[in-house]
Amino acid sequence: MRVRDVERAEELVRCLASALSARRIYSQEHPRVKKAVRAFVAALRAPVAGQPQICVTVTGHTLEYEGMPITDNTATLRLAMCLEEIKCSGIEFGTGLTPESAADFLEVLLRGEPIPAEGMRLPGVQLFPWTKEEKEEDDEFPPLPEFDVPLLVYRAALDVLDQTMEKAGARSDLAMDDIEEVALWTAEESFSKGAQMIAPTQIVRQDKHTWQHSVNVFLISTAVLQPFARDPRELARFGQAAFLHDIGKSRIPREILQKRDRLTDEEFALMQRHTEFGVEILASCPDVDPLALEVAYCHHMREGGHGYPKPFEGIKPGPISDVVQVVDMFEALTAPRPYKGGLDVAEALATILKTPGMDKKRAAMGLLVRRLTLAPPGSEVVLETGEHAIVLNTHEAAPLRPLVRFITDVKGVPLEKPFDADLRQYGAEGGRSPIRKVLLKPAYKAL
Amino acid sequence: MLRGLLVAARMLLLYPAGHTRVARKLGEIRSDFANLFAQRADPLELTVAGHRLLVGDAKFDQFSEIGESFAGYLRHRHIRAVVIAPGVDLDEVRLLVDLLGIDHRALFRVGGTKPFLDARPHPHVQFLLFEAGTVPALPAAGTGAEDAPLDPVLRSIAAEAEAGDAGPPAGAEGDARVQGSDQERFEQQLEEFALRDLLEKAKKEGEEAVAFAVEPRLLADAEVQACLADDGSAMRERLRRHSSEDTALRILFRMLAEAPDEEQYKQRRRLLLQAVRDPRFFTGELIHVIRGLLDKSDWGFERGAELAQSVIAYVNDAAAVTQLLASIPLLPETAKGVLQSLAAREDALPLLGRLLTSQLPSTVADDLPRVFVALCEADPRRFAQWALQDRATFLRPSVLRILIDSSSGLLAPVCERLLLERQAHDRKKLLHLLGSNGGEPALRLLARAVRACGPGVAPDALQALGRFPHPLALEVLREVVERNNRDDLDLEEVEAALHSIHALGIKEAHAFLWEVVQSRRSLFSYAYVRPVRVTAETVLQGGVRR
Repeated sequence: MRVRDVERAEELVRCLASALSARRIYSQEHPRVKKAVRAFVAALRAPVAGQPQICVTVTGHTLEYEGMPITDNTATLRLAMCLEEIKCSGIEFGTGLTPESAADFLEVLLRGEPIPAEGMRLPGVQLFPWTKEEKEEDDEFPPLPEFDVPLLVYRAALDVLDQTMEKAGARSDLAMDDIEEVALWTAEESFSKGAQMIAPTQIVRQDKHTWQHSVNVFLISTAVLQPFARDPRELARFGQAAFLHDIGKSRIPREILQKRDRLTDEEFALMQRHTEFGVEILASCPDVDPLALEVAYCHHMREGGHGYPKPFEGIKPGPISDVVQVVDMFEALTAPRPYKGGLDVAEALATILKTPGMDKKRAAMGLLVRRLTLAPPGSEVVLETGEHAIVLNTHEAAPLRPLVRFITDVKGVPLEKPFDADLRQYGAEGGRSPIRKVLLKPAYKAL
Repeated sequence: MLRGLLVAARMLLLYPAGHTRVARKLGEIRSDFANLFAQRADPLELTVAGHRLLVGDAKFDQFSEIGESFAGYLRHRHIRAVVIAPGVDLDEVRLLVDLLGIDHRALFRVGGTKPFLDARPHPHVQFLLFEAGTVPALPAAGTGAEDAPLDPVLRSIAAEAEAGDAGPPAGAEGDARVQGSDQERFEQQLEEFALRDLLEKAKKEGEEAVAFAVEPRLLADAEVQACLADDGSAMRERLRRHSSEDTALRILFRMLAEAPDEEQYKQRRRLLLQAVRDPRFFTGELIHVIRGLLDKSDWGFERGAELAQSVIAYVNDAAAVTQLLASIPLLPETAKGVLQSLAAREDALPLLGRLLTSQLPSTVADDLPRVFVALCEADPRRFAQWALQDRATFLRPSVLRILIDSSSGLLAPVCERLLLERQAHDRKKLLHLLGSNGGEPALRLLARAVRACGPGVAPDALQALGRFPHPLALEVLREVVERNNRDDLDLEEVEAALHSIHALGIKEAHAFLWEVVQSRRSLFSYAYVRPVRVTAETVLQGGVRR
């Protein structure tokens, strides 16, 4: 096996994944889909390792060619997940692949229905079903998509942002396809999973990744804005703007970004210029979304001449910029730092409210709190009575009145027969929550 | 016991008044009292002294937090002291708990502590109240717990208590509890959430929360509550109205205006011009921005006119450029500069062609034909390509007139192609335009096109020639007749040519027609073949073409 063969296999899979991504957004007849399908078919015409056929295997969320992993971007990761969903252990691409059969293949992937036990054959494509061992393994360890997917999205977003920042710092072209893909994925999952998508921002806080804050802001903003988007495509547009809001920081030296001490005046002045740098980077991308440009520039701008850059006639942060700004501040305040602990939600909100020029952004703050997983499913809470309970499900409209399962009595003695109760039944929304404290890590950590 | 009373009061936040857990707790408190009075015969006297609680004459120091909390509860209900005598029963304990559990503001809204207490007998518990207006003010709030607003559920409980009915609200327990929960399902759920190990591990390590840390009572702050009350409708309205394109456009202009040095200016100018090529940026805002640049009152640009000129030239949409030029008053020199920039664009021909057909201010319109013709002369081949592709614009009278008047000969190859076209509509339109032009350049153009086409020229072209009373037109038409003077003639062509000759209305044309009819080669042969002669005769008689 040669490196070149692996690269070709990677290229083929990448083309297929791009076509699948395009198909997720557009109809089968859309020129973008057709173009992507043609590119996929053309990629197959170049034989790999001198063989007209190429076989790609699926192992969990990874695609492999001759034992080498070839899942190298978000699109291919989603392709692998699709294949896993249809219970496919491998694909063999042959020479008879036509644009029509490739389009049919995409439909099979998008339908998400398990393929028949004997496999599936389309002109030029053969799908192999799971082996008996794989089926047994699946039965034994059922997947936990509620926890699995948000984490995967989080990791993918972190990877893409890492690469994006690196490219922006090196003044190379940004991989907008990857950014669009991860934004769309997040948007789609936010539509189906709602506030659950925020949960990973809490788990991986300890990773101390450089761009972790930006990814957290991206995920939280997407979740907050979900009710305001007509469809995942529109939400992806909002999310993309949040994703790129700090891209200007790629031109700030690392030592300033990671400095623990107070910044000097010169360093702070340079740091403030990240909004301008962001606009410069984004404006140089073809087909830049004006929203991303606006958010990159305005996410530190506040009313009354506070914040930076200074307000100017006609330049007013829009609602998306407001949400990103509030989430940005909120995340920064609540995140634990090496030199300080994170603030409590209410303290963070109070701090934001007291910040000059932020009082007009209360709507964005309200939206944020309503979407927060303050007591996420799986966490343990202590009630005012002293009883302990486990959160089973949360209600968006009443984040601190979840459905819980009581597990101890007021003295902390485990109950023989735990029972469930919906805390919404006790007190109106806006009234005081019966929860005194949220105690435990969510179950994601167990993954 | 005091702690028990407070816990029971808090339990009312969670459970309906008649819930078994509440009832069990009340029973525990009562038995605690019974145990206490088994050891002492004196009543228990609890007195509020500032923040503190006195038990008899002694300060309640041992558990000062509970004491302070209890004192706070009593103070807020205007109770100076509580004296509990031996023999206290379950109803009296219940009364105490209800009194502590009800929100004091709600209590005073329904008349205060006295009517609340008077409604229910309490022979073993005596309440001493502060007199009206004598409740001492404290320098700071107590624990704060009692200051929080109480749920409406408690108010309803209080109302029930006043009515003497302490039973659970109908269906409350059933609603609150999730049906079908049992131990087995719980076990399953623990597995499902992968919680079991986590719980045990957390207990061992004493780990802190990693969910968003939240102190729920702090969220009860009025300002935070005001935030939470927002239903998002204002946000939706803002989303509908806000244009990020406008904002982004202004940002790009502002950054350009604030470029710190020449190099940055050039770089940002490039970015701006690249951005305005995106049709999304063409909004009404762009017109305002360009006007501001030209006024030099906005943005602090010294080079406003030059920038405006470039921006207009870079807008990548013909309709948008037309609208900009039509709506922004430009000085002649700026207009000249804009047109020159437009002429340098890849899509200059269709763009200028469109402008020629639009109503523009005279500063632009006057200079436009010159630029257009210059553009055509610079690259006739490209011009021909455009003319044949973009016929809608090309076949506009105004465009064609300019090109005909330019006497550049650019049109000839295009006309030749169009005259051979099968698309009758385009062909007829061109010929009509050329014919109705009436000028010598148009005639020359047409004559050249007809000659170049040779046999098979469209009859419409010959018909168009008939509109020019000029010897050249006759010459061309004669050529057509001469070349058809043979047995295998194209009768349609001959008829068209002879009719057009007749239509010329000049003396030479008339003479030619007579010559066709009469001229002989010999006694029995004519100079023209019979069909030609017959047609010419018909024409002369004013007959209608077959």
